[in-house]
Amino acid sequence: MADAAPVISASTKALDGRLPRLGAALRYVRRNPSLGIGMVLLLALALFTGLGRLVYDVSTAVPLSAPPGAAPGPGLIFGSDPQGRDLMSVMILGTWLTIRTGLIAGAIGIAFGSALGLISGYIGGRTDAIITWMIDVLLTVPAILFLVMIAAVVQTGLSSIGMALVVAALAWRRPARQVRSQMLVLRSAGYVEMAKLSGEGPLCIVFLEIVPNLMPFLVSSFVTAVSAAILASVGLEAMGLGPQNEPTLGMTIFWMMEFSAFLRGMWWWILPPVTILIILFVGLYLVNAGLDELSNPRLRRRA
Amino acid sequence: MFNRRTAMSCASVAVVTAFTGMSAWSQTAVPRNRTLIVAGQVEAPVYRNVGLANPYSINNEDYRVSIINMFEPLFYYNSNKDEVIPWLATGFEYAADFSAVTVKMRDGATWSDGRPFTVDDVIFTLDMLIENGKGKKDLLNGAGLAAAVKAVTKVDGQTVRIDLNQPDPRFVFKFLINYFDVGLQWLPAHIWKDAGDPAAFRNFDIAKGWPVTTGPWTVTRFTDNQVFMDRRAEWWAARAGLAPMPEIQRVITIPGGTRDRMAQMIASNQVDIINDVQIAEVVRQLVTQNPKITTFTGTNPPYGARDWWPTSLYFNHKSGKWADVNVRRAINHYLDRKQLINTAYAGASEATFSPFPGFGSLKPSIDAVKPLADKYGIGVFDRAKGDQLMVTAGYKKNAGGIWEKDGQALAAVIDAIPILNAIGPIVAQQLKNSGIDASFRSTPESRAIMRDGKYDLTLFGHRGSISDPYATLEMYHSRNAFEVGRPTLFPARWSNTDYDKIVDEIGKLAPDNPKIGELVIAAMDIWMREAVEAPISEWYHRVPMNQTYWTGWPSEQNPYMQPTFWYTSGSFGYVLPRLKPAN
Amino acid sequence: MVLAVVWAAGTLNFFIPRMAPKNPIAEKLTQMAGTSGVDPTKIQEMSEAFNAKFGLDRPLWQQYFSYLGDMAQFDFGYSITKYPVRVADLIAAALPWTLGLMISTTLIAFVLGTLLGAAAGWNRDSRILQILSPLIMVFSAIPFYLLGLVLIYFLAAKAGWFPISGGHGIVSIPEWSWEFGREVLHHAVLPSLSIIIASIGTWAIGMRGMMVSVQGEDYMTFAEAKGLKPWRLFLRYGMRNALLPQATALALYFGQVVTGAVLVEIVFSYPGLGSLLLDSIKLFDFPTIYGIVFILTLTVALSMLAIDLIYPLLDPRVRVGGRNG
Repeated sequence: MADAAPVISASTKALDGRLPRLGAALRYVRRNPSLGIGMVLLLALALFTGLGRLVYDVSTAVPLSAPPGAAPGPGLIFGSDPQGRDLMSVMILGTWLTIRTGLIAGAIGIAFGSALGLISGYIGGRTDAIITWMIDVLLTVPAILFLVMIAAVVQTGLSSIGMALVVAALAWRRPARQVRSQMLVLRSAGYVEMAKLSGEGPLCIVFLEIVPNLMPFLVSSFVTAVSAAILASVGLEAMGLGPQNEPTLGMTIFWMMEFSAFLRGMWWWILPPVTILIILFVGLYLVNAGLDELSNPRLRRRA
Repeated sequence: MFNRRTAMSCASVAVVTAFTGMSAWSQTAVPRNRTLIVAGQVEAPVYRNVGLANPYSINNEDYRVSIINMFEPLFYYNSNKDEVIPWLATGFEYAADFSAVTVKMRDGATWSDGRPFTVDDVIFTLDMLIENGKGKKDLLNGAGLAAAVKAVTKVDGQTVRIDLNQPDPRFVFKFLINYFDVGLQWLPAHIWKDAGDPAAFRNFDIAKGWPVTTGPWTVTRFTDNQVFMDRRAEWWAARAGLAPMPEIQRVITIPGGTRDRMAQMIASNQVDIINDVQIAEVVRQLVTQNPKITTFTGTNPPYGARDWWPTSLYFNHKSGKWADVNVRRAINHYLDRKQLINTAYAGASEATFSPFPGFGSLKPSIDAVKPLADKYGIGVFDRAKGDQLMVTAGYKKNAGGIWEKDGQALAAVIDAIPILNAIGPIVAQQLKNSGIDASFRSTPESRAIMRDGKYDLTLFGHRGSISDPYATLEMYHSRNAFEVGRPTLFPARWSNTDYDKIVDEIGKLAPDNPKIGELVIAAMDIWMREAVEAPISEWYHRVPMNQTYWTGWPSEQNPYMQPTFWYTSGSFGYVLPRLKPAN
Repeated sequence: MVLAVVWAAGTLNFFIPRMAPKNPIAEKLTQMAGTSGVDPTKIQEMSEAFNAKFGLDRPLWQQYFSYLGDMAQFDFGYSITKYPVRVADLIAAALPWTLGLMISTTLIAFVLGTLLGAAAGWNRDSRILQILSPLIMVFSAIPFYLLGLVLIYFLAAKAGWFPISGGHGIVSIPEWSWEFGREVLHHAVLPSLSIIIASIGTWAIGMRGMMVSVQGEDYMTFAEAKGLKPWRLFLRYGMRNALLPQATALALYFGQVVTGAVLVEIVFSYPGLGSLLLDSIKLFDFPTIYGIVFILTLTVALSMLAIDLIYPLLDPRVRVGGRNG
């Protein structure tokens, strides 16, 4: 098994110019199983929700589409919930909706948060003090308070996109503070001093010197932010504050709790969303771990 | 592997808990088989209004599932048998023109502090509420009584005469007979006259034995997670032979938390009775898996007792969106109530076609309006007929299969309180399947939208009639059609002057007047013609009761009262002395 | 600085709940309408009477200034929807439960998670660690209220080993006794377990990433070249530097402990601060929201202050630049 990869790549080398790179990537993944397994898990979910939509009739993710509360059987792979949603469709759509929420909120959160943290930490002085102060103040706002108030002001139901934006509105605070504290450390690092002495501008220093060094941290922060955003949105949804007309995984958990799935022994209603969330989180974790290795090549020689 | 961590965390929990906020408390233990444990209130995990036993405080919530049942009414009413049960009073008599009523008190009733219960206590309570209703308006029932009552006079040591502002043959039924959430609590004048502002008075002090009531109980503990009511040594009603002395020595009421939690507690015989479980399937499993658990209808559907809250889909008549009666009638045709009940309630309920709950006493009215319902298609599922009406109303289906008029697709949000979560998504889906872009919502905000009249459609119950059709009919009187923004729990906000006239006329007639029958048909002809709302189904309180320690629960075979312990009439106080220990 | 944060946060949190014109009594009466009798047409009158009683009829700026004054004196007044209970008493009753449950479980999870993450990030040759850490992650992927439900179902409802919910027994009376203490412990097992199992991984993943970053640093290579013992390298260079952001995260986390507890408390009907906050928010019970959020604000502000003071001790490099450098 150990020399299978080189053989394959050697044989494909002659066929196409692009394939060797694929071969190299495959070989790399063999040495970095976390990344590989993580990617496979996330890819599997992507296929499930992407392909599933093409091959399965997902219009049945709404009530009254199936016999209520039916256990899995022929035609109903995951069974149905007591309101007659086909849980297979719910899972296909819900997986995408949930991932999308995490990606939107995580991306906004990390982009805005790390920009703020970098600026604040690098410039220092009064700017830093003010920005830090603002973050500190905003960190005291409980997420639930914020969400309920938004709902009260807007007076319309939240969609899952709206949900993502609400989560994003609060998701940047932690990355900002954490990036800033990293920045405080890095800006007195030797190479930064060197760059300063050689007359590079602050933007140059931040984005060319510091950001690359922070990359593993930022990527790991992004993956963490996506996980955190998914957790937050699933949590708010499970409390009944989510988009009630969309079949997200969090809403499935809400309905499941609301209609006593545990008491009724409806394992087919409980297991799929939990399993998908587990695959999602584990996938993100493994990718995170794998990316660390990829972006920090010096660590590779240890392996 | 987790044992050590758990032990560590537990140790810290114990230390912190032990050293903060725990007062030493000594209390005699009561054996489990002489204790009744009630799990009530589902909204919050702990009691909210600890130390408040004032029955007229607006805010009062916790006492309603427990202490309310210590207060005794002048009359109980059993809706199962349409029977008035005289209690602190022996009887009442209206003046011939219904402009006054005299009530005779029972001799020998006493307060828990030994003082006699007299007609002066009744007068004090009424006067206090009327005065408040004319002024500050911060007591329950104050405004209603002030509007109805002209004067309260003492006739003799046992009799009181109440003069009314307007002749009202239903006054006694509105205020002096206690059933469901209707009725007053009588206050001991010798304590309340020195209480100061009655809205601020807590009426609670264990050392003084407050609240002082006529019931057989005394409150011995009231914290944020327990209310104890201990049996007193003697009770006037037992002496008078009205009821046996309770065999329960202590009633413990706890906040039930979530529905799941309550269901699990009763399944494991930890508690004796719990709040309405609603989900028929869960109750079915409870009664089939634990033979000790029963319901009002035993182990048979609908697993509960009928309530006065039948569900309807309400149109917001003030929004303008539903101005066309054809659309309202079409929506009536689009609701498949049978499918809805089979899905949401596992078949354990009945469809309705009128706003009346199906109590025996209302049966004649319901039967009488059935032809009207059929004529106007209220409560009738018929999609083709609905489509036809939509076309008549000028709608056309667009490419997405949604009805459209003037380029505007017909969309609607159904706002409701969470207790209707079981049917909400299904109603929305049925409308969607018929071409109305409906969605359902029950967030904390939805209930405000519903209450303030800013909704499109809402699901809600009725709380109207129980013994005669007037109360339900009155809900649709124009005086209740508040402008948008003013809060009310009569969501329809519908008005029709012809209808008002008929209802006013019924209000003047005694409930047993034979003329009422025709008038009800006349009023309901307008109601049905106008398709005021879309009636959906009966509402059952599915209250599981555990017979491990206590038997003699109210049931269809022995329907001496409703098993609903949280009714603010205190009607469960009538049930408590009738429960018998299982061994 | 801390005072300024507390003031600004106090102001922000005063106005956020007022964005929507809400009346707590009207909200509560409507909530009660689902289960209990409420005079359907009298909501307006009742809420106006209560507005006058609680000063909600005054102009907002007046309310704001009396709010500032009250907060400065730690006087939170009476709850509106939980009248006649004082907000301070509500918090005092709920806080021990939350602190006992959340602080202890958070610390346990933090220590275990950080150690595991550090070890996994450091020693990537160890088979056991490489297998164990994804396993722990599997558990942290399950939201802890959901894990709580699973535990309730299997260990409480099915097996009957633990109580289904609550902070103590239904019929027992809180008192100073071993008996009662044991009961509290027994009730705390499942909520504690679900929090610990579900949050170790969160700390581990952060720490692991940090360790990997640190390992790439020049000073590490240098220290390694100097021939330092691996164990010393791990503790003094690896752990110490990676701990910095981890400690920040912990300080921030403590501010969120209460909101984090909400779902666990709801699932277990545990009488803590989280469920009190959620309940107050849903009903717009302003005094209670203000009281709780004020306490949270103080906690966050103080823990940040502590972090700023501890930073230089953990990382000498910060001292060079200084806060205002």
